[in-house]
Amino acid sequence: MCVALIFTAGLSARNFTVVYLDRTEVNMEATSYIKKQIKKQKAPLKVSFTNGFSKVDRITDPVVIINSGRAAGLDPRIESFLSSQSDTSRFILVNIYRMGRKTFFSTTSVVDSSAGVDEISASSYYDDPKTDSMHQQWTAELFRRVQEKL
Amino acid sequence: MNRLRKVGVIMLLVVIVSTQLIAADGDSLSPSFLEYMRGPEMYSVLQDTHKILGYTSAALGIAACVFNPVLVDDDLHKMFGSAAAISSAVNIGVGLVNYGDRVFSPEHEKAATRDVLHAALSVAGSILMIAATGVEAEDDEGFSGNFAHAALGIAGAGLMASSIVFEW
Repeated sequence: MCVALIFTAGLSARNFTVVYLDRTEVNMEATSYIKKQIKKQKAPLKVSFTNGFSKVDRITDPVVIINSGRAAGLDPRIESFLSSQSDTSRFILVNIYRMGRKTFFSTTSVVDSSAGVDEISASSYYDDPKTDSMHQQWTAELFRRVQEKL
Repeated sequence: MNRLRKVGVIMLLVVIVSTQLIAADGDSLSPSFLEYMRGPEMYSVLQDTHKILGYTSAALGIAACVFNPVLVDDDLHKMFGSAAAISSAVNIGVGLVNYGDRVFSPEHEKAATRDVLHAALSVAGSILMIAATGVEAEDDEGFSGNFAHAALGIAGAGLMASSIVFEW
């Protein structure tokens, strides 16, 4: 029975893709944290990862773009990619900002976003267990928004 | 010297494979494999492996120093020493694959100072541990005898342990 439930849950899991631009420590921590949290929060999702935008045009599932390495604002590569897209509704932007030892979490709707996409922002501070609730918050919000787009 | 040769070959293979994974851009390995190995899925697996192997290497090295032939059977000492040298060599390969770009990339120059020191200390520690397994105390006399074996082993384990402390 248990095996059947796990198997069914695996079949019903829906895909989304996470795009990261550089193999930095922050990007690797954030992306592997997303993967761990899917399991921990029992989200009915399956994630795949891609480095750069080269494969994104062939992906039809929701796409999460990690914007990192900055204290604020948007990476010019992401800005240029998003401006080249006619339909940005399947994109979610996750801003992992460099803010020292400060925990921070906020969301921005499409209407208020300068990039014209759903945005989730958090700080890149990782120090378990102090920062775990912040990271759990933004990943939970991310999973909720991904499921809305499926 | 046979054991030294074996450990040397293992270390050489590990370095060749790991540097290929860092340098290759789809030439020697299929891009999907490379992308997977250096992607987020493997990052946390290799992160945990690196941590476990690092602690294991230092612990085995220290165990080899503590359980020396003066106190215990020589075979036990040899087993700890060889295991420490092999696990440290493998761990350098794992570290290169997972964190190599952090150490070598000029973009991360300032932020990577701690990582560079960690890598330098652990590579030096591993080399000394391997050298210690080659300079076996009972076989040799003079400088390459008891003193050299003990000095190389203690220094190797010490450097390995201090490289872990740098990352705390």
